[in-house]
Amino acid sequence: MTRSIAPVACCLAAACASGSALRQRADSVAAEVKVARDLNAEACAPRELATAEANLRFARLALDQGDSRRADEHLGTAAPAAHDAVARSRDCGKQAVAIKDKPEPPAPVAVSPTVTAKDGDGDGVPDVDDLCPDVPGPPERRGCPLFTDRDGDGVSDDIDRCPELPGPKENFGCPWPDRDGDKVADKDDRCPDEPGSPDNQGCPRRERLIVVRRDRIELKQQIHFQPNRARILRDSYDVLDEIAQAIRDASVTVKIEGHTDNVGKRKENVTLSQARADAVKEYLVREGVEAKHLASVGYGPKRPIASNSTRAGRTLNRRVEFRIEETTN
Amino acid sequence: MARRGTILLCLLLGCGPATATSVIDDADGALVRARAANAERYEATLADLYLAKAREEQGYARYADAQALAADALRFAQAAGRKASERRTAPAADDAAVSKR
Repeated sequence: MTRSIAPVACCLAAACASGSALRQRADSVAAEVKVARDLNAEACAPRELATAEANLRFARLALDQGDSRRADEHLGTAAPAAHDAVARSRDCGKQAVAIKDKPEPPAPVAVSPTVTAKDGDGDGVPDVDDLCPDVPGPPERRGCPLFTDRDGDGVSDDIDRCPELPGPKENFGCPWPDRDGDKVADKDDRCPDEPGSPDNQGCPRRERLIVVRRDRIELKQQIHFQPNRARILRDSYDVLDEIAQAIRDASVTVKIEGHTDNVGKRKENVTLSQARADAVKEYLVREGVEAKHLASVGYGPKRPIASNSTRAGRTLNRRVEFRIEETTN
Repeated sequence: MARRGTILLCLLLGCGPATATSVIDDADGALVRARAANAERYEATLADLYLAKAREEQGYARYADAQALAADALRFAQAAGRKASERRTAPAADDAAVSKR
């Protein structure tokens, strides 16, 4: 009987001794946790402090349940965590003390105390206050980035409707549409369907085909007709459109003069030049110029501007001219 | 009121597992919300650890302990969320504090 009780009693005694030792360990960890708390570990080493406190509580719970092994495990986690919390908080605390306990200034010249707190990620938030000490983030987020910004447009991905494409904040992080691809956004593009340079508001530069002088409209490109007929060729429509625009804008009365070379019968040439001047007038009227501001005259070969003995000269002589007769207002 | 009644009824009928599970679920939800609100690290870590321990205790069928731990986890998670929202609503104060550094 005595023999059977003895091992049980030994075990119970050992368990009590073990339990007592663990409780002492727990008390020692609790003391360290208290020191960490006093050093402001909640701010300086929050994770370590929380780990120490939680595991201390779990260890005591395990002891209450009689589970020494589990209690030992929890204390094994709590003790180093408490130690870390104290160590981190000491570093953290030193800087705080340096500011708070600054003695009276040694000299009457006030020199502001400069505390150079470490700032590993260089975001302006010292590491002691930086919840993300390795990633730059704004101070209002305590040094942590708000969200990722994959396209780097300054609009965080959570509100960026085009997280892969950089775009302005006003367009929810999306680039402004640009139908003609001329790098001038449609909203600023006066010609959204025609590529053009940004300094011309996205419109293509058009070479002016005419120059309006005081007494005439000079053409950089002659008006072309079908040979021996008064039908205007399509390639002259642009220059005629510009002439119509200029007459409308300047409100002038213009005389349209038709000229020919001297090849063929004179009478026929006069008739042809008149028909061509009339055709031009008709075109301009169709383009919105009032007929009363236009006059058309066919001179035939009477007023050459070059020699009719050469091919080039004859080409120059076959022409239409626009004389500004008067300003109507 | 109805919830209290349900818990009381469960306790009388021996619904320990159900009650503990309910509190664990509540704590879990609160912790998820707190994390989404970028919760304070101290409270969030505590809530996390307590919740894990509550689940462990529940696994050993120690429902009373599990429930108590889960209730603490819930309290910590709620505190974490509350602090995070307080911090968010006072950005100007934070800015001022930072600019003084």
